[in-house]
Amino acid sequence: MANYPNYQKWLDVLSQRDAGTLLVCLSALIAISLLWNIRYLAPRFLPIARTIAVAGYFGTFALAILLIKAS
Amino acid sequence: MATNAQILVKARIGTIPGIAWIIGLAGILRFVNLGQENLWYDESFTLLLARLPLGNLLTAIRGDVHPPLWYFVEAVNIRLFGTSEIALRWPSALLGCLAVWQIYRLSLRLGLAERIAKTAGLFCAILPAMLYYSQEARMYMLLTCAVLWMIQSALDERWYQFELAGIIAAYSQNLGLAYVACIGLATLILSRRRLPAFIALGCIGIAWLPWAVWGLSHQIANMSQGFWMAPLTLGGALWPLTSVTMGWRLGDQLQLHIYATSVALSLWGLYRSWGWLRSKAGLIYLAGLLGMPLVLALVSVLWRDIYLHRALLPSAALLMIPWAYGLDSLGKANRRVALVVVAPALAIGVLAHYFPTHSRSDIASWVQPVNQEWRQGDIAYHVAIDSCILSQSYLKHPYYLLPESSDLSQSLTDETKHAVGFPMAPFDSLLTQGYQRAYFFWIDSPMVSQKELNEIARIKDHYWYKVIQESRGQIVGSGIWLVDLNSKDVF
Repeated sequence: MANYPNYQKWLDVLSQRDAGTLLVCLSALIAISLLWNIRYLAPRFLPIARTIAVAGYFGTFALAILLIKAS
Repeated sequence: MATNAQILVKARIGTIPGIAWIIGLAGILRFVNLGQENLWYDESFTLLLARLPLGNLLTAIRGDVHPPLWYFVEAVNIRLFGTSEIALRWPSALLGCLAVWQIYRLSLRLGLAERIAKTAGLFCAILPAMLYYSQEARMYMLLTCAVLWMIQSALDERWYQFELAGIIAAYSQNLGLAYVACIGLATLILSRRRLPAFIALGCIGIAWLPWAVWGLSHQIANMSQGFWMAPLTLGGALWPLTSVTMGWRLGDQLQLHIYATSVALSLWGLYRSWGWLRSKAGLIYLAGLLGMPLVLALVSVLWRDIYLHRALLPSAALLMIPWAYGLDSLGKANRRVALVVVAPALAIGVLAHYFPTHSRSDIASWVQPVNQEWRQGDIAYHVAIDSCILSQSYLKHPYYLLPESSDLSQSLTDETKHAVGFPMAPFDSLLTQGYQRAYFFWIDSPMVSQKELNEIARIKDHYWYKVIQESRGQIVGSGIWLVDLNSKDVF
């Protein structure tokens, strides 16, 4: 590896990517678990939970676009 | 009022099955811009090998990291249809349409409803990663179709087809052997008729043996000197769940939500599919879906890093069935909400495929100034193997390559370089060969060795040059300099 001095830069980029993937998977898992549990534990809150989930999804989506564009 | 002819046409259109429309859509999505992007490194490498006469082709393949089948396919293909981007990519595009049909048939074979099978086929038709590999002149769609065929024939107990599909999988990508092993083992354990399954697997093994002895053992020895794959992490192991479904051409600002949708759909689909996944047929299917990533992860942990995300494309295609089942299993209100999230996510993924943030490089434009300004006494010179291969189809003039050029992945060994017939010479010898000016192509990337970086620095310090092209990204820089060969150490 000593013959390839820039190799470490690539590994750094990959480690950022892998950390991002973990964040994505965790977010998806939490969202699915929350909705699933609400369905069983408090079904009357399901309609509002669905609305909040969709609003949260598109709200944070818009926020991510704005923040990354601004940076 | 409609005429009889119009009524007849409408009636005929009505009899076309839904899956035919979906395959038609898959065809349009795959062929519409097939030749638009330039060939990237791996595709140019495919072309380079496919052009060789048979003897040199075999030697070059032995020094590469892949088995020969795809190169044979492309060798025949380019002799029939030429070497354009469309000519090189159309077999993958056609296989991409076939995969849609295979997923539909497999869903039905697993006992799922027609509408679920159609939805799975539709997902397969529009999935961004499937679109990408259906438009790439590489072996991954062939591997996908072979794996899907293998599962289907295992479930149907059609052993000749099972053998043929297994042989194609093992000869299209070395990691295809892991699919053969997973699906084969599951079939052997779960099939009602074990003897024919055992004989079929034995036949695949016997057919694969010549390649294992002559080619693969040699390739493993070569690869052991390189660092092709990055060390596996948990995030890296999960990454294909996002990249081999929604692709990696999305802008940074879109990735979190689109990828999260893909992961959520996968988790939900697998959870809801648990009922039919426990059946014998379901377990054979599961061996194809999850067996491969598990085997690759296990081998990466215990032996060496072989976790190649592209090789998981067949698993991604198989994942479309739980996606469809998961959505179908929702109640009306929940399904509507899920579609509000999933449909835009897929639409954005498809749009990102056609208007990508991370696209294949426009090599034709990059080398255009060289082609335009070329005059007698000029020569092109590549310090790294990357620019040499990338520009093969677009630079219309003679070139030399630095003899010490190598690559991190050891995918281009000296054996392959000699079989391909790269013209190699030291830069300082160009003047004595009668050349006056050299277009010096350089790349500064993680794959470039210290020797190559030293050569770039040496040319910069000792020669007069004019910058023709130059760009610098986060970790990759590249450029073309027009070097006056008479100017060495004169300033």
